[in-house]
Amino acid sequence: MRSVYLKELTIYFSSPIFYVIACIFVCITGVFFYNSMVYVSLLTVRIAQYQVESGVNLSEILLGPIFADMSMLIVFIVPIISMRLYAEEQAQGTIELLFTYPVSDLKVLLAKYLAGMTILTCMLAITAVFMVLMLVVTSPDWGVVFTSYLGLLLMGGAILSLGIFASSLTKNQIVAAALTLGMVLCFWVVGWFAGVLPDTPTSGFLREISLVNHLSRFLKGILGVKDIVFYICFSVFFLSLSLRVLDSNRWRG
Amino acid sequence: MARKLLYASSASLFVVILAAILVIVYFIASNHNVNWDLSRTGSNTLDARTGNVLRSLDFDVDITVFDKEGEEGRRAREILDLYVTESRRISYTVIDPDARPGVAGKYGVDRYGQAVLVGRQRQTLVDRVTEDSITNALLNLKRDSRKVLYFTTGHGERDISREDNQGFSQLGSALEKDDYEVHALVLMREQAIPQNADLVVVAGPVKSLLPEEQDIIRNYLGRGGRMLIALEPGPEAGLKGLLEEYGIALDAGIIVDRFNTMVGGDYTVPVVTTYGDAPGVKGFAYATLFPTSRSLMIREGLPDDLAVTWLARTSDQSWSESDYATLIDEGTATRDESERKGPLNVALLAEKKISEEIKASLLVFGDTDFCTNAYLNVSGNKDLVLGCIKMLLHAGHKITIDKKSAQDRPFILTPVQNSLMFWIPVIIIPALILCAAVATFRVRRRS
Repeated sequence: MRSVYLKELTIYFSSPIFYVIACIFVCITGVFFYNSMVYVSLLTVRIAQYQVESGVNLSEILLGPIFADMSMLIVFIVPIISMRLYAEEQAQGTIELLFTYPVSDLKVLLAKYLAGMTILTCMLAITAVFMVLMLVVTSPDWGVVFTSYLGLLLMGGAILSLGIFASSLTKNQIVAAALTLGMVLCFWVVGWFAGVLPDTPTSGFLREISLVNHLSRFLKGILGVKDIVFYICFSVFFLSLSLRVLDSNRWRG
Repeated sequence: MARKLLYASSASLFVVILAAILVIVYFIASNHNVNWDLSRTGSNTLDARTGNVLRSLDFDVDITVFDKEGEEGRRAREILDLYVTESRRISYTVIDPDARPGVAGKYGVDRYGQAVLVGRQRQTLVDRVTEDSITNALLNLKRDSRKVLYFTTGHGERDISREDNQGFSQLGSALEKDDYEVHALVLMREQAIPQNADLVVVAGPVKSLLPEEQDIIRNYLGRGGRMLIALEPGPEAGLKGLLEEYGIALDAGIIVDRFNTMVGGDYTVPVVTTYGDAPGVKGFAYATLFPTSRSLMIREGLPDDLAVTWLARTSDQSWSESDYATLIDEGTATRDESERKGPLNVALLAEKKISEEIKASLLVFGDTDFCTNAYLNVSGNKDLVLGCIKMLLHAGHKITIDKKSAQDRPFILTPVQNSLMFWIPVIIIPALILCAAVATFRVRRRS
């Protein structure tokens, strides 16, 4: 399993794909970060003008928007990370070779999943520099920073599992990425639909399966068992589906 | 072929069973959810007193929030989610009052953001979903008996059953919808105020109360009673002496405000936007209208056991006009030097310490019209009178939970910091990533 994991990491780090998406992700997050910092600075000027004595909730007006924007970027970035995991193997015909490895399909799958998660963690870790940079002017709420990163990782993991499932369905990496993006957006917008529907069991169900609704609590500094379990269940379901699809390659011939 | 079919069936079965197991796991996690609030302010955690109220709930409470799905609706959900997580007795739904006007009308909802709590076949209405309002509404439902209000009659007071413009029927209905019992009380038939009275209201008496009736009121207040008296310019209804005992003096004139008046109204309808610091009016955000009001004064040299605070007052451009006849006949008024200048009090609260634990409360309005059917729903009149009544009824029983707000130090970026915040995240770090990419490919090419 370790060898598959290292092989996947080597492929990521030796191909331009990681560097390109990491560069785009960090640069755009940097723009969001800068915008938020300037916004809070302008807000402070206004507060001073109106002589409001109370402080502000920086978690709400600074950290919240930055992490919410990062979550949107993850929706587009993770399908690119996941698209090659099985589609490339199928296109190059190395998938059969993979089946002959002295490790189970499950271990291969987990190795690929962990490699994808490592890439995502690396990208998020780079943005942690921004939080340190924030210390120059203010002290961010580290509890909210921690839960937000955890939420992004769990949500990213859920999207990655969806991406692996899509990648296992096709030989074409572009199709795999597009399929992942489509499915993720579906799980994203159901939350918005739930918002405009009246309170019924249907809207409740849509709210529960929405990827973004569970994230919102992490971004406020809440660590909820229900939200953690949702993302884990979501990942387990799509990883298991991927395993079934790979297994079906054997008996379909 | 049959083999393939068998494999496909077993794979499908596996997926269905797996989905079912995961749904069950999530369902259990949902129903036994535990939240840890890691934020510095703890603003996502319910107050310990709310926790105590929720743990002691022994009946189900269904909360219906009437709001548009949007920012406000989302906030209400976030707060109520905390209640649902803490207690399985609580459930809630959010309803768009425009989409379901029938339901909104049934509960007397007339504003976005209001919520109705229903439990033990009783209901109570709150104006906004905040931890403070919901917890106190739960406390209200938890009480075994409903609070009882008596409105005195027999002296020309406004009638809670009269539905015309001068009646108080809408105020009576609003109180009943808030889970209060409202009764009329013929004072001259009684020896004393009924024992179950939580509040006695004397609203706009025209004729004087008999000395015996005044004594009944005096005795009631003397044992820690709570009263609300609403007067009008002119008749003092024999209450002048009683009010003076409680540190309140009545001005004989009528309040005139030429600049802060209702559009289309005359000078005698002052618009009040300044409120005191008492719990019922602190932070009150609506304007209120007091048609033909008299001003109230706080007497000087009050004894230590008596405290009088102002609740609402008019603008500093108002004054107390004593030439009532000219004002009514000619519709004009000019201030004489002898007439008191604003700001003038239109509502005062007197609290007298009877013993260490007992306190009499007397709230006096200089106007009665503002809570008649004609004016109750104008601007914030209803909110003000209901807020004041609730303040009197729940004094000592109410939990005050201030919104936990972060007090982070805001900052202003200096030019150097501004450059730092732009260059490092947007240029330098992405450039370093690209450098790492170039270095990797060079190493690969060499190897």
